[in-house]
Amino acid sequence: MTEDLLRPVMRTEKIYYLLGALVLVLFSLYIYTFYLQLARGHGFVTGQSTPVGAVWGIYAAIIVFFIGISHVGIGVSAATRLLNLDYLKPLARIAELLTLFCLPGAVLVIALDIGTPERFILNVMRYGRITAPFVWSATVISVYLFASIIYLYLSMRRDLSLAADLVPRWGRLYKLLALGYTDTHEERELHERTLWWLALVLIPIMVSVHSVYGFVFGLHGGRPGWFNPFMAPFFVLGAIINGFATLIVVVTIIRKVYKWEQFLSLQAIRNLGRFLCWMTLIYIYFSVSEYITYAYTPLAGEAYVIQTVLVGEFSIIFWPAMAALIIGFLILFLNQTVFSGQFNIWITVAGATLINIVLFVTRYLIVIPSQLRPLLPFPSGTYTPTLYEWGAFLGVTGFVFGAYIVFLKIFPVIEFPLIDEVEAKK
Amino acid sequence: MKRIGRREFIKITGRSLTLLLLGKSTMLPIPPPDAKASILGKDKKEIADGLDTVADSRNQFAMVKDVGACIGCRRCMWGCKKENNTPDVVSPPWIEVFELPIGTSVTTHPPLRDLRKGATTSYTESPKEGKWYLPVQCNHCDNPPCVKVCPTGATYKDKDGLVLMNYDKCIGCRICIVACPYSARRFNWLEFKLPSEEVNPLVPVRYLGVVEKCTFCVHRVREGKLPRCVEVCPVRARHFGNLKDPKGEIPKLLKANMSFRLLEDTNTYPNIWYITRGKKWVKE
Repeated sequence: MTEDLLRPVMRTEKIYYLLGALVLVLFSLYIYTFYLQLARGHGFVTGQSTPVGAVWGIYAAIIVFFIGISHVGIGVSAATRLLNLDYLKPLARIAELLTLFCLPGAVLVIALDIGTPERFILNVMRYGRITAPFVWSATVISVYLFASIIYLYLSMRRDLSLAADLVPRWGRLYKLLALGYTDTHEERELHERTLWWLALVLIPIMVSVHSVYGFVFGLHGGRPGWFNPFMAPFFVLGAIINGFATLIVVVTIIRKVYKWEQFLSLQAIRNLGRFLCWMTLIYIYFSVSEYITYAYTPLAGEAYVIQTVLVGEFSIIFWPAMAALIIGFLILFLNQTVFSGQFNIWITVAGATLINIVLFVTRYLIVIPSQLRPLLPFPSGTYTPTLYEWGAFLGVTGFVFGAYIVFLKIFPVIEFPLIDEVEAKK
Repeated sequence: MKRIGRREFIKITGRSLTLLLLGKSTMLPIPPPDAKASILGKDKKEIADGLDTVADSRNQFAMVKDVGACIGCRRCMWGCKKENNTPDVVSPPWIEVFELPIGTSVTTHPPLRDLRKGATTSYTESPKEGKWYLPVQCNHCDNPPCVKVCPTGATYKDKDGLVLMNYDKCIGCRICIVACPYSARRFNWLEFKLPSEEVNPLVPVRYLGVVEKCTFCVHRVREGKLPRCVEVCPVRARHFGNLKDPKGEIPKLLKANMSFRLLEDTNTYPNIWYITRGKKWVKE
């Protein structure tokens, strides 16, 4: 059984190197954009401009997107622990890795968005001002990241110590990282207890991370279409959907590639899909109530923004996105209920992918239209993402993907089942 | 392998950390302040607004613009650009002038219908009949949203009411631009090179990736001079002074005239008032 779980660590197929090369190519796109931007400026690389045009471009949407995905990872794992959802346990680490890789991914894009990346972290730490949403976000993101790393590490110690003797290539690394862990009963208990408390603390941090991102947009009284108390919960919900949809895709792919059907049960993925389905429904409800409020008797500025979204320049992406959101929901819903007998995991994956794309588009629709309308009678600006900006997106996606495949090659990604559990199953 | 208990682990870590710190403090020479600054890349002079000036809290600088008199000649815009070393790539420069059809309101966001009547910033001839002209720059608000959201305190409200920038603290996150309802802030999107003979030595030259905006000519007004835009205005549509001085020009003008401020519902308490005293449009 453990041999099965250690298969990716023991053997490396040729395709792995191909994928690695692809990842490097993708990531070099990010590096190239970053370099150009540092040397020639944002104006050369991006489609952004001020005061007419978008001050934050698609980078902001990408940041929110990746933070959203990262949101769910530790969340799922923590909930698994707190609510004793044992069937989710095997995919807990795959979920945690989403947090671990997407948060740095988002930080990479933040570094790209910032005008002077060489001093961004240093200055925020030295002069940080507590009234600023970005300081809140820097605080919660770093707390979340470090807490997640500790959480992941503690939950991995047992596997590392067990695998140390089985994997000749990485055995010494495992032994070093396991820090003398021996799989005794007390030690296991101690870890469980620590992790339980950590999980309890992580859940509110997780909610705060994305609420703060809602605040980054929702706190500006002078921005029609953003100034809205709904922003924080809306962002949290969006993040949950984003994360679950990505998790379903990632887990299914790993399950298929490594033939881990016995560990990552169909039922577990199905439950994730069910949760995603209901959350999507709530998201649709939130969207409808938001757009009705904006469209009914809006103030002049809001009227302008909502007009561009519903019938103006953004309508060509707005309406298809809304339609796709409903279709995505229906795909998940029908797959779970009416056609439950013929449940097909790939249909769920298709629905999740569709919802993820829609979520990216809605982020774009949150970020861009409001910025194109200054409050004073400037001419209305336009914004089109440049190829460089898309390249950076691909680059960061490559980074996350690459981090996954590297991790899969070095560490065991599914928790080893306890011996007594295995025997009980037999 | 000997098992190390938790207590012991903490003890060992604590001891080694103490040793490390002690060792560090005794063995390594503590760098003098200057050397420390150079480590942080601060060996060059700080680049910030109003560097060699002192803010006086008895002042509150304010401006009154007479839109009845303004002819939209944009001399303020170009005067400011030259005075403040604004490169061509920062466009528009710190002051922007609007040409508006009569009846367009700017105390709130103008409704769509008004905007469609032909509000523009890219007019080529002025003054035109049936239009009025609105110069806009940083309002040096008493409740500035840009200062509140700045993560590093690079933009701050000084004692004399000026909202200024410390460019070396700015990380270029542009959330101040997002927060400013007046779109008064500019970003250095592109590289530029100013010819050295054109540079005003009193004003710092900004660089790629930082935000900048009108400073009310801090280097002049703190020395008792007028801002450049006020000085160059050919029709005396701009008035500048100290709001706290009851005998000054600004309180007098505000007393004698009806006034409005821009986007008043954004709750920013701007320090620029607009009056319509000039009668350039009234034909007998």
